[in-house]
Amino acid sequence: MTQILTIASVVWLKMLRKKDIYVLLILTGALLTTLISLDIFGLGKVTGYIKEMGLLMAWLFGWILAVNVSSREIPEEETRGTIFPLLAKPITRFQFLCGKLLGSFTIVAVAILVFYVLVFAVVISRGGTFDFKTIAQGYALHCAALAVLSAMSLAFSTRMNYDAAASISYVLSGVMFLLVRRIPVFITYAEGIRANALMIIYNLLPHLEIFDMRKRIIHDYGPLNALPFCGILAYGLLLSLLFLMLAWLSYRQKRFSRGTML
Amino acid sequence: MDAPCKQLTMEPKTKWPWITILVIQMSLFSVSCRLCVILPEDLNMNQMYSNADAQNSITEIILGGAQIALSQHFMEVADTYFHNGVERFRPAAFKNTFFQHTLEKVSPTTHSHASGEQMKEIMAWISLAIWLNPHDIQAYLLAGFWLAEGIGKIQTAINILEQGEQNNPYSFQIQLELGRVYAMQGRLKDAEKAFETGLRIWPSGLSPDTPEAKRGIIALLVYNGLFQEINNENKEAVETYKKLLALSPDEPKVKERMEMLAKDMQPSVLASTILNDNILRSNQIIECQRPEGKKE
Repeated sequence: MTQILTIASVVWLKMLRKKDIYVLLILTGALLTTLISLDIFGLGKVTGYIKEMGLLMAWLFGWILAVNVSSREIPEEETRGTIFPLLAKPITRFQFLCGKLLGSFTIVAVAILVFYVLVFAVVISRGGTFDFKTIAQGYALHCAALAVLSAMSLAFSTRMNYDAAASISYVLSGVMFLLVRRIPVFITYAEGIRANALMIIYNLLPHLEIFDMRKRIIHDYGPLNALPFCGILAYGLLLSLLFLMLAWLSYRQKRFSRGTML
Repeated sequence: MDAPCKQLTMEPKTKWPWITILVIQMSLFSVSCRLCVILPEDLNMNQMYSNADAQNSITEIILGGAQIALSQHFMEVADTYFHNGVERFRPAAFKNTFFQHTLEKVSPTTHSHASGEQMKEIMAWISLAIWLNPHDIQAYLLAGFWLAEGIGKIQTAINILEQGEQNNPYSFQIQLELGRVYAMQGRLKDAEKAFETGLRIWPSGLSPDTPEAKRGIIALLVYNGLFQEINNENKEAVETYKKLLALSPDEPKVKERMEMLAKDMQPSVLASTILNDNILRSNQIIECQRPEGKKE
């Protein structure tokens, strides 16, 4: 466990040095400032659109961070050659992967926590209200979705360089977010091979739409019942473990050749 | 010895994207500083800030054709807000998978309509839609309708509809709604003028046979006829009602009224009373296409 935590802390240090989070935070802040400066027909206390845009930004930036941070860790270690002294230490490849995943995931989780706090501070300052339990659930499910994305990007990065791993992760996660939930609708217009292909995608790809509680938070529908909430969390955990296992299977026998990495 | 050399050359390379971005940014900044000089007269910056039509040009420059799509998206979001977060119904090929059941539990499915303070939330999205596409007539009509009837801000409704009139001077729909809201505020002369203008510019590019155009001309003729009666212009009112009956013969009350006016008799219900009843009834037809929600 100590080895895993040490590697995770190194991921954190690298992230703080690169300042990606600050850029995204500044962007969110700038967008929220623009939104609160809008005058909606002089109607005063209108906060729904700030919640909607703010949470959208939290999802968007969380997605960017999760894919970027997770998919660059391993290729960077290999390109710089730091993988050699690292694996020479008493650490297994599984621990190495777990450490990388833990580091990237916690960075993203903390970053989106800051986004949530920022959004809700702005909304509260405008006179809006929230149900804390619903937000806590929304945040937990958001983190679960990002854990899946982090594990997936990490799995791709075990056999690809940073650019390729990030690109394929963006494309796949984009399909998971945007396409998968609409497949039952698309199938009504599709026939034959197209319909079969859509069904395969529907059943094969993870369903990230069930992690999205934004509508529940924005429209004050209250918290989810414990059973579906825990079920979705368990689904997220299983998917993350599955991608971690795939990453390990791909990485455990990987041979490193110094010349080809540069 | 090759490998470290390669590694050394990697470092300066990574700076090039940043330098390129910086150069592009500087060039864009210099170009934007000189926009007033470069752009033709109708796109001059001073004018952009001075009226809404030109303000559209700024968003047009930045977003291009995407602004229309984005505006439509915001109108859809407004519609979703009106239905308290329940999205538009789309037929699905199958409905019983585990993920669909779970999604139903996560997303709101309790179907209800926004009212009171919740109406203000819809306005934010309509406002953004109008900002992106000042020629979206439906957005002005919805804004005017909800502001006047949902929130009770009649003056704000008038302001937004007048802005719509400026941006869409040949829209009979806006004139009709504007006339109705003027009448609600008691500005009967302005209302009369708006209905007359609406009648003159009808069908505003629409095909006269479309339901929207037909509904519009019937409403405009009714209001015009009533105002003519109020102004004791009974002959003109009879002519107006004749036109109305030609378009919509199945109106026994109008027929009866026209016959009484033609005989110089006073109809049993005063024109002002009918007008007061009618201005509270919008010409907007809002159809709810959401299925009945499941109560949680």
